Amino acid sequence: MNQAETPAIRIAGMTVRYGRRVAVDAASLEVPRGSVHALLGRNGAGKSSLVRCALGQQRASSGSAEILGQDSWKHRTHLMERIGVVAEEADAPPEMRVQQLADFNARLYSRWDGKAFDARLDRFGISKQPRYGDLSKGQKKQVSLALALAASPDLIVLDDPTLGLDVVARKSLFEEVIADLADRGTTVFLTTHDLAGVEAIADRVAIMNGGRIVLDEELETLKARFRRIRFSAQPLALEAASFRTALVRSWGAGTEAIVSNYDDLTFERLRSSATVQSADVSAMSLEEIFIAVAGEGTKS
Amino acid sequence: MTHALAIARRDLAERTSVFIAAAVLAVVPFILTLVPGITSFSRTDVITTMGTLLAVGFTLGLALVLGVTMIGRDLSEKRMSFYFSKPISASAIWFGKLAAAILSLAISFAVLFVPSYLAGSTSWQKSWNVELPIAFALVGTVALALLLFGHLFGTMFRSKSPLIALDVALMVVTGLALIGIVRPLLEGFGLELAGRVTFALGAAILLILLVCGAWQLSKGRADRKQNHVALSRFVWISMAVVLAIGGAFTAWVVMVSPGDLESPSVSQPEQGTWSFLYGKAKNRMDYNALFAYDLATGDSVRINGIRSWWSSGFSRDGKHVVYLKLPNFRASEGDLYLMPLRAGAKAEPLHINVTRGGVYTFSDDGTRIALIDSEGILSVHDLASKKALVSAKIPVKGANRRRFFFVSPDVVRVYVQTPQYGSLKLAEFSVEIYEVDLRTRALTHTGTYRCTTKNFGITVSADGTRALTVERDDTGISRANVIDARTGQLIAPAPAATMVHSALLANGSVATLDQTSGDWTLTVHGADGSEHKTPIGKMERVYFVRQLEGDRLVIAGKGAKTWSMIVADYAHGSIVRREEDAHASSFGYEEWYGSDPRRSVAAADQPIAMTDSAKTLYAWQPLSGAKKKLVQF
Repeated sequence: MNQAETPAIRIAGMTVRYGRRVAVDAASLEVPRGSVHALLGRNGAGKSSLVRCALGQQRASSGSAEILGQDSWKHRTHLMERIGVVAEEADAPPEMRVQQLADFNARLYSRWDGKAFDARLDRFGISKQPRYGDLSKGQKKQVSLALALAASPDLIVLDDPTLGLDVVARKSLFEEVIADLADRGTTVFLTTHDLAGVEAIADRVAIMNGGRIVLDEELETLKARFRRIRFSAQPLALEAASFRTALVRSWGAGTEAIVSNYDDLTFERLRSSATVQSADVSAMSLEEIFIAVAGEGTKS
Repeated sequence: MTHALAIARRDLAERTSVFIAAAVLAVVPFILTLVPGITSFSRTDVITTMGTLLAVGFTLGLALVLGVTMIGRDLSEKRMSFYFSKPISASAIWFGKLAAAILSLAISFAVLFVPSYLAGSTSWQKSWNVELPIAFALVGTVALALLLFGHLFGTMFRSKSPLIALDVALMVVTGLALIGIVRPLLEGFGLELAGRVTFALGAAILLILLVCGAWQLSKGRADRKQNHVALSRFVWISMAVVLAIGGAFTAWVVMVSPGDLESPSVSQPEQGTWSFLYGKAKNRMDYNALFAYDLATGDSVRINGIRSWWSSGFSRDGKHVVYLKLPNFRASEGDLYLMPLRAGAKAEPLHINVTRGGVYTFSDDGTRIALIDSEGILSVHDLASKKALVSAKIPVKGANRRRFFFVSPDVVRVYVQTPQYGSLKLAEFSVEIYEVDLRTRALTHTGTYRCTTKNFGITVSADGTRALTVERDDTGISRANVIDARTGQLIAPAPAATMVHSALLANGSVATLDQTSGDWTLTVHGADGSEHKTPIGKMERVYFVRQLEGDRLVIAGKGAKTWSMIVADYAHGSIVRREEDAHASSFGYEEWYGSDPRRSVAAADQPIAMTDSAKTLYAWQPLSGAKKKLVQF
C-alpha cells in the first residue's frame, strides 16, 4: 500500500478503560485521506477518548492507532507537525494573549502561516490582544481553529468544534472552513453533535454508541440504505421481506420501521405481500438515522 | 532543545507578576529601617538580615508552589493536551518547564537578595557567617528539592487516585530503607562515610526526581491518572534500584571481618585468651568495627554500637565483658550489655541505663558488676537477677580519674582523684579513697592521698592491701610511692628519681624502668630494700607489658626502627628472650589503664597479642616464644 492509499487515520481494535468502565470498546475505524469524516455519538459515547488515543495524547488499554501511516503513540511528536488539533475543551493557557499563542506556535511548526492566521482571525472578528482566558467559549474555539489551520496541516482533527459557537459561526465553520479544507485535499476528522451541519460536508460518517463503533461508512451509502417505512400490517411482514430493522414501533393500526438495508425491490415485495394493504417509504436525514442508531431504545 | 526553550520562554513570560512581587518585596527591608523602634538597630544589619530572610523565604515558598503547579495544574485542569497536540516531545515539555521554574527561582532570589546584599556586604558576612557560594548552593539545593518534591506530591495528590495509598506506603518504606542504609554506618561511627552515603543517596533521589517528569509525561501524556501511574512506577522502581545499591554498599561496609581492619588496636585483659580488636576498616573511610577475638583459636564475635574499649570492661577471669551500647552515635546514654567471651556468643542486655563516660568493673567471682557513671554515681548490680544492690553518689567535685574494684563481693573500693580547690597551689590534687559496703549500704571515706600532679596513676596488689602510686610531671620523670591501699598512708617512698615507668609486682616489690643517656635499666625494688637490676639496652621508649610466673616481666621497647618484645628474668638480671619486630598491641601493665587498678600474674598459657611491621597479628607465648599468626591486616 503506497502512501496515498494509506488511510489518514486507522484505528484497530481500540479499547479504553477507566478503571472498570469501558469508554471505548474494541473500536476500529479508517479515515481515508482527503475525506471529511464525522464521528457521531451521544455524550459519553467515547468519542473524545477515542480521539485522544488516536492522537497519541493518551494510551489506549489495547488496540492500535495509526495516523498518516505511523503509530501515533510512538511517533506523536513527529506526526503533530502535520496535524492540526482543536480539542473539545479549550486547553490553551488562559493567561496567554492570542498574539503570544501565535508566536508560540510559530516556533513549533515549520509550515506556520502567520498571514493565514491573521486573516482567519480577522474573518472571525477576534483581536490578538485579549488573553485567551478572557475570550468567550466560541471565540476560544475559533482561535484554536485558526491556530490549528495556520500550521498548514495534512490532517485536521476537530473534537466537537461547534461547541459554543453561535449559528452563524457554526455555519461558517462547516460551509467555509471545512469545505475549503476538503477542497484543498486536507483530511478532516471531526466529532460533532451538529448533525445538520456535518450532513452537508461529510463524505463519511461513523457512529459510536456505548463505546462501540456501530456504523462507519460513506454518508451517501448510509443515507441510501436507511429508510422509514410505514405500512398497515404487523412487524412480522418486515422479516418476511428480509428487512433489517433499526427501530420498529406502532404507527396507528400499522407499523413504522426504520430499516437499515433498504432497496426498492425488497420494498416492492413488502408492499405486494398479502397482509400489507398499504405501505410508503421516506428518506431520512442524518439526524434521524443517528437517533435511530444511537438513540434510546434502539438496537445498536 | 528549541521546543524546550519555547516552553521555558512561555512559562517565564507567564510569571512576570511573580518577579514584580519579588521586586516590591525587595524594597521592604529598606522601608523597615524607617520604622520607629527598628531605627535603633544598625541600618545595614536590618537591610541585610531582612533582605536575606525575605529572599530565602520567598524563593523556597515559590519553589514549592511552582513544583506543585508546573505540571500538576495543567494536568488537573486538562490543559496538557495543549502541548501534546503540538510537535513537542515529552522531555521538551518537562525540561522546558523545569528550566523556567529554576530560572524563575533564581531571578526571584536575585531580585530580593542583591539589593540588600549590596547595601551592606560586610554586614552580611558578619551576620550570617557563611561564604556566599556555600549559602547560594544551600538555598539552591533546598529550593530544587522543594521544587521536585512539590512536583512529585502535586502529581500524586492531584490525580485523586487510590494509588496514593500505595505511594504513601512506599514513601514510608523508602524512608525506613534510607535509615536502614545510613544507620549501620553511624553505628560503626563512620560519620564521614555516612555523610557521603547520605549525600550520594540524596543526589540520586534528586536525579530521579529531575528525570521522572520527562518519563511521566512520555508515558502518561495528557492523562492525569496515567501520569500518576507512570510517575509512581518510575520513581519507585528507580528508588528501589538506588536503595538496593545503597543497601548492598552498606551490607559490604558492615560485613567486616577482623582481617578487614586497618591497623587495628587490641584491648587484652590480663587473663583469658579473648581480647577486643577494633579500628577503622579498610577502604571504608572512617567506618569502625569492633570484635571480641579469641587469640587462641581466631574465633571472633562482631559487636555493634561501641567504638572501642573505652566503654567496656572485662571480667577478672577474662571470660566476660560488659559494654555500653549506644542507640545512636549522638546518644549520651545507652544500655549495658553482658557478653560471655566464646565463639557464637550473644550479648545480653542488663537493662542498666548508663551515660557515656561510665566505667565498669566485675567482682572477682563474676556475679556482680559495679559502675560509676559520668555523674559520679556508683551502683552495684547483681548479674543473675539484674537488680541494683546499692547506689551511692561519690561526694567529690571535679573528679578526673576514677579507679575502683571489689575488695570482696560485698565491698567496693573507689579511688577518686580531684583538684584541691581550697589549696593555694594550683597543681595540688588529692586522691580520695571510699568504700561501699553492700551489706550495710554505707559509703565510707577510708583515706586520702595527696599528690602533686594531675598525671596520677595507681595500681593495687591482688590482695588489695598495698598500692603503688605514680605521679608524672611535665618532664616525663615519674615519682612512685607505695601506700596503704585503704587509707592512703605512705609505706615506702619513691624508689628512683630517674624512673619513667613502674609496676607493682605480685610479691610486693616495685619494678621500675630507668633511663640514663638512652640506656634503659629494669630495677626491681624488694620490700626488704633489695635491688635487682637488669640492663635492657638502648631504646627510644619502653613500657611494662605483663608480669609472668617465675620472676619474669614482659617489656615492650622501641628501637631505632621497630618495636621488640623483651622477656626479662629480674631475679637473675638477665634477658631470656627478645622478639624483634614485634609490638604488644594492647595497653600495658602500668598504672594508667583500666577501671580495676589491681594487677596480677598472667597464667602460663596466656598469649600476648602483638603485631609486626608487616601488620600481622600474632598470638605470642612469652614463656615459650611460640608465635601463632592470626590475621594479616
